[in-house]
Amino acid sequence: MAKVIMGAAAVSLDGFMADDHDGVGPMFDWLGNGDVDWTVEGGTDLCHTTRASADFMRSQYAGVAAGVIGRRVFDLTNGWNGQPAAGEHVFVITHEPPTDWEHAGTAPFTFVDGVEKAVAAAREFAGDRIVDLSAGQIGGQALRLGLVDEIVVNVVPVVFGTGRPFFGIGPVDAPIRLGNPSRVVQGDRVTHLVYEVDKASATGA
Amino acid sequence: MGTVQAQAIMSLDGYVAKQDNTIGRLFDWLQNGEVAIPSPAGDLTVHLNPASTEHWRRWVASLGVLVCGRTLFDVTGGWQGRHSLDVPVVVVTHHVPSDWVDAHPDAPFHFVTGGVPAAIARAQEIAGDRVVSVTGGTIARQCLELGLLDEVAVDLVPVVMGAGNRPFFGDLSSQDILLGNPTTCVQGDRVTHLVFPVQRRLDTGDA
Repeated sequence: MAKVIMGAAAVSLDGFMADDHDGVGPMFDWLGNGDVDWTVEGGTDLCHTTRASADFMRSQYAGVAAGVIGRRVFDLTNGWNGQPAAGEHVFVITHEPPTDWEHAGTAPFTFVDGVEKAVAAAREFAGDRIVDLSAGQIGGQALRLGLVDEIVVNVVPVVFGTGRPFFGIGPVDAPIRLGNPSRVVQGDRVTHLVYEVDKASATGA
Repeated sequence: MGTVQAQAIMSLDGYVAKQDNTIGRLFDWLQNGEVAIPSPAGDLTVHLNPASTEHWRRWVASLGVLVCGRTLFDVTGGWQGRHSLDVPVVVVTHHVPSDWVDAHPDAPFHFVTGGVPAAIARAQEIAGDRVVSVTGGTIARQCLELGLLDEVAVDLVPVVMGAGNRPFFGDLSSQDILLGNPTTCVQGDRVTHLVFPVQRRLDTGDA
């Protein structure tokens, strides 16, 4: 069965993935401040990190098959010009698919009009491999629906004050319980933590 | 001069209390372990995981003074005049609660109405070489913004509380603030202890 992992490239100590203008400032330092070169499976962006971060990211996302993102990230990156940032196929959640995207029809991207449907489609595509789910509004909704198996938090030592929240905005009906972190890895200007989600607590079951 | 730290037990999404000031599941780790440790004031006993025990003991031994705002003071009733950690408390407030002071004449509580920098200065005087620990919340945020913090200590709890609760720092009026790599990263049971040094901004100079 596919494993759904919610994550983002980086999150500040106070829980933000980017500032209000989608700026990342020092958040991506850890992706360029090391001496080991690597890419995520299926991706093309070369990262330069410490050995610890490289080993962590490669092992954590080994077998990534599909990504699920929202319209914001799709627009910001122009769908990475049709090349998935990770894995083989990207499911984009949007109520209005773009009509003028130059890679429509040729790129391995599918536009789906809801979080549940997108996660289900991604899981079906992934089989028993991994679905990489964007944190933020998309991930937050999926988490509250009990659809997330694991959360990867790449904590960067910075305090933003405000910005785009990792867990999405909005309250939860009851606190969502996570397990103790199954992995804690120290990089340079990043601390990686992996948590399993107690899905019953997420849905109030 | 002792280290000035902001310290709080925090959910993974950045909250240190619920909106009603209760703590939900944040304190679970203080009672889920096998090592029984009475508080310095003797008013309660925590039961900690061995890894947390070492971290806790070191922290408690290093403490000189606590600094908090009026909200926490009111919510706890000023800990009846004696904090569980048995250290003096500096309370940042606009008005001194004179009735409370009259009722607790020997309590080592210092009410500072001159603002956050004055409160930290007072706390440092009292603490000497020991640690000044500022509780998470609006006072911690002001300290961070004013460049008064040497480090940020987070007891990170694996729970997501959702929006609408009380954040460790909240909105910053200035730009984002850089911390250093953690000097402490200790895994307990339902808590991960992290301590980050604050990187000095060029305009604040040495404290």
